[in-house]
Amino acid sequence: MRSVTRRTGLLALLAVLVTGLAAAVAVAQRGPQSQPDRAPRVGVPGTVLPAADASPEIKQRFGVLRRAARTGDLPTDAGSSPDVDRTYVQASGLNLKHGRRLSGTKPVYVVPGEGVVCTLYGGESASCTPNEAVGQDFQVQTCGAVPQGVVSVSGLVPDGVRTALIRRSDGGGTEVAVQGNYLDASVPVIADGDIPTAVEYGGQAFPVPAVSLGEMTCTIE
Amino acid sequence: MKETRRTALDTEVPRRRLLGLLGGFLALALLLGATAPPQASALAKHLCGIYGTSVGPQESCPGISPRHSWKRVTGYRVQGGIDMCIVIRNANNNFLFSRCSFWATSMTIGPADMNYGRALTRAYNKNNNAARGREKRYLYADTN
Repeated sequence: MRSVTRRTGLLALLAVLVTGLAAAVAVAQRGPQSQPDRAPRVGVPGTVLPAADASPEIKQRFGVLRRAARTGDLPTDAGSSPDVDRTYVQASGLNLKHGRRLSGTKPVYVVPGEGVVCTLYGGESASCTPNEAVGQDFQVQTCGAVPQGVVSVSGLVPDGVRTALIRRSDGGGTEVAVQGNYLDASVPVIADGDIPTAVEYGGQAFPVPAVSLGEMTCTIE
Repeated sequence: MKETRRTALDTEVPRRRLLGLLGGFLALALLLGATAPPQASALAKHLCGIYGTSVGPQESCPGISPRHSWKRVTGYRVQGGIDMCIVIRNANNNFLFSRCSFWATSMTIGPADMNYGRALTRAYNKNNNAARGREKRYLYADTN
């Protein structure tokens, strides 16, 4: 009787162990979606990359990264608190010491990183663009810091560009001035035809992500 | 009247089974812990993709995050050239704001834009943000 009980207990333990092992294997092999990607990549939280400077090619195209540092260039100089997320800084190899404040009234900074050039908004929010796409990557934002019914279009443009055209979906366009290496335009959007579709300069058109009219009406928190 | 009496052996059987089950669950927990991505606990919430893993081709970031006092939302992808939009809604699902880019490999929306986590918000990648080809993308939110 005693040996039967012991055997039953052992069988129960074995069954649970086998089930557990099967479950663990299933979790580990859920296909490509859950396959760990070991290569360190820019921007992934948890990755720590050494702080990088802008490449010579980038410096050659963007004067703001060539000029000497001055007071107010670092996001921390502006007194923005808390500073841009440390996790994000490390993951992108951002070198805040090489950061420069962009022209304009808003506290916006350009900071080189590992194979990327990042734009910091107010020292907290940020976006990083790979070196090869700097000058053709324009952020569009609706609501939040942008008034209702307006789309903000912003991005870095290379030296020598004084004006750019914000192309609308109706085919028309609005010419905007570029300050330094930074384009920052607010485009009123009332109808579908007003939605920005591209930024044009130097005979080239760089498309911007599409937004919808539904994203023009926002709730104020 | 028939007297029933529990012997030591009678109580030993369920106890051993219980111990067996407990040991099994412990082993299961250890196995699951060993196979989980080690960095996953560093972030409060993965909204799309699993840390260090990829969203498959044509797979979009699923759904919208739960309501939470999100203080920071970060979108990430390996390749540019397809729009990446992070959209923030309030607790009632009303639109708050969106930020989009064609080329950015990562975008983070900081505490100031998230009202320092004072309000409940929901975050998601726009529905058309399907991964293309081998492209990988993730979306994270945290409350720190």
